[in-house]
Amino acid sequence: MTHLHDNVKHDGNSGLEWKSEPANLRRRRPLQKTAPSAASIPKLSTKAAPPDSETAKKSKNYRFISLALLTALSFASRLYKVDEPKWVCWDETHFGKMASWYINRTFFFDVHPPLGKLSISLVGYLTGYNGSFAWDAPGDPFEDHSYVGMRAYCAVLGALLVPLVFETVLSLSGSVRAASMAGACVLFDTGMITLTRYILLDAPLLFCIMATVWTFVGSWPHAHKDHPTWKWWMWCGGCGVFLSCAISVKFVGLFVVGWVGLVTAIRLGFLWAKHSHTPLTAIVKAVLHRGACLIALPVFLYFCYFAVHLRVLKFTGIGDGFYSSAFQSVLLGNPLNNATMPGEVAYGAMIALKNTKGNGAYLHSHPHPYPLEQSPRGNLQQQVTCYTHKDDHNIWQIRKIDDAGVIAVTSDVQLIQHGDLVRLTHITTGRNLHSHKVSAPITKIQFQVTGYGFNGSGDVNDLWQVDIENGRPHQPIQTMITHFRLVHYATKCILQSGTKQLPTWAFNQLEVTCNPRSKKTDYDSQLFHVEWIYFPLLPNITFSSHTPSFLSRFIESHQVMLKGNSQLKAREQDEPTASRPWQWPINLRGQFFSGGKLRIYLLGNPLVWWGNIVVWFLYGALEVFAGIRRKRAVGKGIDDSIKRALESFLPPCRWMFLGWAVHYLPFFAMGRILYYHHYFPAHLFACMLTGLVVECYTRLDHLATALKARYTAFVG
Amino acid sequence: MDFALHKEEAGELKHRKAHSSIEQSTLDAADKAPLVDVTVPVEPPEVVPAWTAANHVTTKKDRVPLLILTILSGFTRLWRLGYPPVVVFDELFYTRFVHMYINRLFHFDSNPPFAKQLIALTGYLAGYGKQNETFEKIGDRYADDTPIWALRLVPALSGTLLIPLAYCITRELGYSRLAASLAASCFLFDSALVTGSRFVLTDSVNLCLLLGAVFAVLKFIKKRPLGPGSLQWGLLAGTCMGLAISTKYTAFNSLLVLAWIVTRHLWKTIDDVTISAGRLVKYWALCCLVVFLIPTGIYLSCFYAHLAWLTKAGPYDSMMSTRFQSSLEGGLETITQGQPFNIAYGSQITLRNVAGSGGNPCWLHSHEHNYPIKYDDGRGSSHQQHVTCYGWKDINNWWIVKYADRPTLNVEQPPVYVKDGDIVQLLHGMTFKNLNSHDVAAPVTAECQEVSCFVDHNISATAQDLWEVKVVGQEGDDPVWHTIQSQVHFIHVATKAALSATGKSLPDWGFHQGETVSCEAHKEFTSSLWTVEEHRYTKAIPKLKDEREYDLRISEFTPDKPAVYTLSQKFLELQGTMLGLTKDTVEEHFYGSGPQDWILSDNGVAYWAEKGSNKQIFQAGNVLIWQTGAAVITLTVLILLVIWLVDLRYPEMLPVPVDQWNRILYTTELVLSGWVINWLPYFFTDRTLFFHHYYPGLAFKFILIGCFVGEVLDRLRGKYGEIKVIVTNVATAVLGVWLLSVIYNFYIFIPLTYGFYELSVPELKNLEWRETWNFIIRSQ
Repeated sequence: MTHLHDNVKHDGNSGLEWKSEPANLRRRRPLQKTAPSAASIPKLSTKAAPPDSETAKKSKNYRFISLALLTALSFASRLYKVDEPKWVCWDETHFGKMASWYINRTFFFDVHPPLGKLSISLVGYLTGYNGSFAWDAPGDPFEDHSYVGMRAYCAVLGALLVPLVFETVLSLSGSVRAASMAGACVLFDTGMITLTRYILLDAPLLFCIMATVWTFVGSWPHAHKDHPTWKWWMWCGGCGVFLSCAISVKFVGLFVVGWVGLVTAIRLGFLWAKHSHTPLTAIVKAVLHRGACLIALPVFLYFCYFAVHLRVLKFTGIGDGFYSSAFQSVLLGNPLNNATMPGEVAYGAMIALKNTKGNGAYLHSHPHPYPLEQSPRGNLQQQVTCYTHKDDHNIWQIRKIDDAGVIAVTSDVQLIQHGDLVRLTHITTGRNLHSHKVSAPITKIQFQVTGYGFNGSGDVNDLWQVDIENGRPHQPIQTMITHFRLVHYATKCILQSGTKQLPTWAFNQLEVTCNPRSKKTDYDSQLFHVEWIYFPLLPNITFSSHTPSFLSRFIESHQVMLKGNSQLKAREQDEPTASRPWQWPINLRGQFFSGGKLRIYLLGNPLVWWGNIVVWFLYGALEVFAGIRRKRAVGKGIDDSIKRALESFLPPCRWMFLGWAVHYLPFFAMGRILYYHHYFPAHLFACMLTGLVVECYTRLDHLATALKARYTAFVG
Repeated sequence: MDFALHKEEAGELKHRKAHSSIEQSTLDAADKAPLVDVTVPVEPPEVVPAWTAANHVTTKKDRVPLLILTILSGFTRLWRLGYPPVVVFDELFYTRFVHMYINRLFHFDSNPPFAKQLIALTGYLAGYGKQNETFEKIGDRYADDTPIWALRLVPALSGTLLIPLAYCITRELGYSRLAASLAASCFLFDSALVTGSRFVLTDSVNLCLLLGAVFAVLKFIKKRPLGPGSLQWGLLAGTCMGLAISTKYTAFNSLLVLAWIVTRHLWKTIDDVTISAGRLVKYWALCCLVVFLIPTGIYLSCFYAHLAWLTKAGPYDSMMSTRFQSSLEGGLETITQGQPFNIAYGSQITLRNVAGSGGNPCWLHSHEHNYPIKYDDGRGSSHQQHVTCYGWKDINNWWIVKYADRPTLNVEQPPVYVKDGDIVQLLHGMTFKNLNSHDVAAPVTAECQEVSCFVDHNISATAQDLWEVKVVGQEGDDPVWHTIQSQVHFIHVATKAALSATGKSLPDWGFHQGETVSCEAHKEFTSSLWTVEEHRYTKAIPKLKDEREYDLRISEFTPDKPAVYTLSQKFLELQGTMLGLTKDTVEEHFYGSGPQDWILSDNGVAYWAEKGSNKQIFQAGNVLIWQTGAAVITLTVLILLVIWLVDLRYPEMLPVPVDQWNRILYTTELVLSGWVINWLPYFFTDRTLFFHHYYPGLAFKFILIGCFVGEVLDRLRGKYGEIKVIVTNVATAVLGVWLLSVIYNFYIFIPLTYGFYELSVPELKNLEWRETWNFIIRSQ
């Protein structure tokens, strides 16, 4: 901000450097506060003459020949033997599986939004894949399952990147050479080829990002001060559509949203600035038009994709456990769908407790002790965690506190009421839910919760008081409906399930603590409800499921996805495949896609990648050079090739550099596990930057001549 | 709105045409004029260079407020410095480090050494070092003759210096004496800073150096490039920056801001065409020296002094590698000195895992207990002898390197050295069984293979107990396996798996020792690298176990080459360990806090509480100042945003003189971004954060309060010229009331800030203003 401001304040013709308005228009306006010097006169005479029609035709031909050649090569290189290898490669095991689930319409959980997988599934469905392949592990042969359609779909999207890059650079700079250079960088990049030939989300993602950039850049020439043309609506609306696609394929698409938003804001800033002489009404209109195309439209489409996703997946599947009980009750075949269970909880019932907040998990225990360093008193007690999957270890029996140690269903039915003291006994191990004044493993300021005792016998630290949310005396706990907290009787701390993941010794499950100093913000994570109950003495009733609305399912899906994403922590066993952001641009190491007879290794073309690194420095030098020229007023008023090259190439270079930075730098702040392929969107921008910068340097021939002249003068 | 781009045709054509028409004229111009220098008459740009703008210097009139503030701050910081005469808070570590420093014992700390060196020097001059201190827990009494006052003097003086520095910085940014005094008062009356600078902690030293650097940089960029004073202030700035980063790594963010300020300044000097290109280049070189070379040099020298001075082994050695330890006097060196350098067939060795178990060292170990037949989860085991990674020196850590195809155990004359790629057997010294691995799932890490001790050495070898030695990272092409200096993989010949320690503990049956497995995937990890720590040649192996034990215990070492480890190698290793260690601690700490707590003083740290009473020292910010700070930051950001937008479109509406613009710009670039960079990035930091990470941010925030008030006052004065008296009086009254409230706030927290006297339980409860302040309250 200060940078921009600085220019406006002190520099007569600042702000222009970011603007790509035609050079002749700019030159026509007198420079402010600078008296015309002798040197500034010749510029008028060198103003562009009307283009020679023959030359124009010739360069138009160049353009089509280059585009056709690049596109043909691109398709050929991507589609060549796309059916090889005839087995599952790398993450195809995930995304293929998801295609099967879509085709079979069974519900699953994934950290990525649905569009990429939906489109792959649709193509698979249309090309005859019936969803019967298991996709168990990389290396499984496909045999006679129809998979080529899905591979070809991804490959085609990948092949389209080259013409998109070409067109984008062309419309940014108007130079066929720069466009061809950028296109060739993408075309001949081995990494791009490898990444886009398999059933992965990267090909749709890269395509959507690139299409967004292309349409966005394409809309610029059609923008007009008063009323947008229909062409502008087409381009900008298209940009909105692709924008929505990009974020609906992977959340990495958010970066391109950020880039488009940032660039739009800066360009609106140019309109706002005094020099552009835009009336206020026009600015308001411009903001509204862009808001409609780039915010409202994508948001609407994003909702649509999720509506399709939730519509398609209507049967129960393996992802149910991640979601709340209400969400599950919508899925056909889920035990909670039209479930019949006892309606109230009585002593002796077997129950599964679920954390009530949107993405809560089941209270869980398993026969593994806390490690020694978590047990300062020396006795190793059993771990209690929260677990997102449905499992036998999630079942607890709720018992009276004066029961003898044995687990038996009492014959008289006594309902559990608000304020009752209970013991919870873990069925598979016979340990009681227990807490004591020992620091919890991660949240040190809270108490540890353990499984303690033998076959149900325990001590006073096993006693928990049932505290129903807004409960009145004698109010019973109703299955599914009642939300309650469990208050530890001895220390008055409250059972709480955080969002923190325990280390490998607890299999990365969620930490459960007992919170002695509850704050309002903890309240949500302390509420539990009974999701499953077994108690033969009470009659089963049918739950008239309170069907959640689309909006609440949509919101819950996002809560679960966000949590899933943040929990993708780098674990030690993933270390060989995971990498850190600084390793990516230098092409330090790639990623295995397939072993066996045909070995596939994702690795960028070193020439392209290392060339891109050189180009960063070349670009930096160009900026410094232009800055010094401007500040020291070198060649002021002289319209030479240097000035023209800088004026026409530096602004697009800046947009591309910004795009690269927006797609790359945020990864440094991410704690989640990262892979090499996360760099490829940024790589697209780097390739476009390369094309622009290299072309700009070739146009500095005048500088070379001048330097040569000086050199000979110096030597001679 | 015309964003139309060059059409390709037009662009290409123009490009070509331009050549022919102007080539000649510009060539001529280029011949005559140097490219960078300008001969074409150009009027000076409108930019007024920074060094002429807002050139407030501290004048005689500043002496009075400076003197008063400094005396007051000296009083608040140095008042009864020796109280309490016990270990307070992190003095537990820092005084211990100082003690070890004076006694030349090596110790490990995750922060650089400068402040500790300084404190150690003062302590040494005051006669510290020979006292017998325990340092077991917070609250332990110091020895009677410990010069506590002297130890705490350096941090307290640094804390005192903050106040004049804050005053001068605010003045230097171009604000009035009133504004500067306000900024200094925030430092003066903030209880958290007072508490933080009265004990043997390095934060206040760090902060003082940082503010010194800020001040020097401000002075430096106001001097005319290479003019009088330029060099001196530059050197001072570089020195302060270097010392600050050699004190604590938390200074790093702020140094980035300073580097940015200098770079921006350089960029602006280009505008001044009166400075020749040659002079500019020289000036750039100077700036590079200031920002980069001097700090790096100082940082390296501090570590040089650190490593050169600390030559004796201390209790923290085990953090470091075997090679490092063997270079210290009196530690591992006494054991390893003179042991044979090359491993030969028949060598008796202990193998230390390079990664260790959970950060602690461990050695390959076995003992006469077998794996349980069935694990708890129902999987079976081989029921052979445990192999573990054990965290203590033990007689069961000894192994013998043996030929794979010969039964001989003695070292031949001359010894046959083991080289990279050799296949060996490893024989457990006490039980005489071979190290063995096979296709049985390991006890905890089930995806790996179990490692056990199995075949008696005189049964003909099976293929399951052969290990290939892979020596890695050796200097040159030296293939021989060396004591201490080599790191080796053991690759199981039959399955290609690598012997490695997983860092997980075995359950009860394994005595919670570290799990050892063999796993192909672990080849990538340092946990599959092993170093020979103790080593001797076997001469004759007794048959009986008791005799073997006796022999292992008493045997002498044959002298040989000592290990070499240069200072630079030591530095690199120490640096790696320091940076690596701070990365891993993700556990929540009781007094940890996060950036969300640092806005309104939601964090508080108990420093010390007297046993059996409610007398305590609790670090909590002066709530009023902190709230003002939060309000000021919000307002500043909003106002700047509005000013910027208005100025873009209606520049005539904001007729601000250039020098005042410069002051707003510098305040934004230096002070506001100084605060932002010490706050925002911590949201993305994975490790445990403490309040002291925010100290630099706090300092910038306090200065910003002064700047903001100064700016507002100046605007008011300029705007309402005629009613100046009234406006000034009202503003002064408001500020006076605010300052009095701040002082009152400071006053009521004095018992907690200094811990001189006790408060009753209700009084304490009254002061517990934040839910998150956990005072230590003992009800009598």
